[in-house]
Amino acid sequence: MKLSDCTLLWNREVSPGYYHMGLEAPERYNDAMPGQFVMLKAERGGTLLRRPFSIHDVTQRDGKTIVVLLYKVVGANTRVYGGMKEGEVLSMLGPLGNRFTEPEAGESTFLAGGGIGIAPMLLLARRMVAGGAKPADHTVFIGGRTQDDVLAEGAFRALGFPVVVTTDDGSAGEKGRITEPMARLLEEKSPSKVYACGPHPMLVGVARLMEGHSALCELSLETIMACGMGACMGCVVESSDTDQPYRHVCIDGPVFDARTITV
Amino acid sequence: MSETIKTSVDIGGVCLANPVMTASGTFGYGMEFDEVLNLNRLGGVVMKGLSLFPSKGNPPPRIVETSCGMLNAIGLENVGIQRFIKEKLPAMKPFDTKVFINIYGKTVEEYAAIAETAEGVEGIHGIEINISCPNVSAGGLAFGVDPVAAATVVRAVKAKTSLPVMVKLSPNVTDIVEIARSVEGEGADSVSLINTLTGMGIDIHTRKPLLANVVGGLSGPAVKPVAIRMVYQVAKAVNIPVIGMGGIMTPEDAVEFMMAGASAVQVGTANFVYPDAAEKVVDGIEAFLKEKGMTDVNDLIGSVEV
Repeated sequence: MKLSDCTLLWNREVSPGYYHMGLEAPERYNDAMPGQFVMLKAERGGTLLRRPFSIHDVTQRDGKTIVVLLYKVVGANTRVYGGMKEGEVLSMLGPLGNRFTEPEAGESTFLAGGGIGIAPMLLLARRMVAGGAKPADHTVFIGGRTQDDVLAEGAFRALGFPVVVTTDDGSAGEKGRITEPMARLLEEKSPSKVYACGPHPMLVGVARLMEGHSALCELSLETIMACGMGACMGCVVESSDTDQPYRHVCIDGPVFDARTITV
Repeated sequence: MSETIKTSVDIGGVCLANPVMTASGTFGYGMEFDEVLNLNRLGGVVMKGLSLFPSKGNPPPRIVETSCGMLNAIGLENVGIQRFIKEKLPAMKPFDTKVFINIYGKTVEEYAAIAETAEGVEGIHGIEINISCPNVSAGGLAFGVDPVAAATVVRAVKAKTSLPVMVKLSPNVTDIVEIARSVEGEGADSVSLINTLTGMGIDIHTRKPLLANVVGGLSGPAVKPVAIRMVYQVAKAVNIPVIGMGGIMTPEDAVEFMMAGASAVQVGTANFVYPDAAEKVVDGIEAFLKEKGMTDVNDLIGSVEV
């Protein structure tokens, strides 16, 4: 069964408006794959439909499986989550969707997250390390409008990944777009796989940067979705395959090869 | 369900183990929900609307959330009747529930051709006709808003099928009773109502419609009072079973529909929010009957005291 009531273990504001939430989850989440997501239901004060959230991390503590979510308070539902306390219960549907294609031995990769788009990259980084990847062979790019929007830097550094930070206003790291240092390091590092998640202009930028490059470029997308499990057909994106003009973000994605969709 | 309470209902040639079905377009082809509820517990499931050939649906955005509801313009994306029979239906056969296909066409001939394709196929227990689609040969006016066009579709489908036929009525009409009577006259075995209410939303910052299709169908708790009223009116006017739907989220909502005159109900938008909602409604109706000391769910039907 994919539907569970999960108890909040912590819910901390890690940067203004951004929260790090730990939920006690069923054991099946130990097998959650990087790139997968959950649908949360906000009760009292939330809207009717669930909202999708990338799985940020999965850890174990005292024999418990803990699903970690990173979210930004942007509307009615996230305001409800932001006000929730340890011990409260959230209805969580998941894990849902497909996964990032993890690197083969010896391959190097780029993991790029803009703002809250960094969320799925931590589970990916952790699974890569568990799979034998050497963190030094990979590069994490974290972009934000300001230093407040630069998230999870410490977690990636703790795993041993080199991190490059950019901000629009220069308040942290390099001033400018995330694609600028990515473009610069592309020659030097020649990654085999480039993973990106973030705001639409960033995804467009990364897709353009990787056009004509031999690396696999995988984008994690978010769209409005009602069910998260392939029933409503509401969450489509346009595909480059004329036989299948629309792909469903919830079951065909959320991770797509950038060449197969119209970003 | 319990031995002491009768939960089965007859909805015009089909006997359901309980009055709870899932609504077309909100439950995929059934199997999508196998991991979140027990399909054997449901009285029936209605498949996503099927056309004669596969349909790609509308461009995005296809859905938008509204106050206590949602607007959708999916555009009836589906695999088509033939692929459905080959690829989707077999997985539903082991389950102890009644499978209804929901069919739509752009012409009367298309409706008839789909019914003909489904004729004699094992595992299909009934047909629900969606008459809310535009009638291409009548300039795009929906079949469901014209009693004559609606009747023509029902007659054409009945001529090609031996399965019970349920007609899903559009609420976007002046007098839904007139349409219900008209399809009853052509031999419809039951009517289901309501389909979504036509709606629209605008992004005031971009001045663009919220849906790529501009208009869409409103569903969810917001439409329930409209649906209850229409079920009440139709149930009084026809002699065939009425299947009620529109914003059912809880067992109490389902009981309300039955009291208004519905012999069975369909759970729709709630499946998106709580994917086990339909099973919870099954449990809750039985609990309600017990609490009230009732022994037959059929005693709820039309029991409103006006």
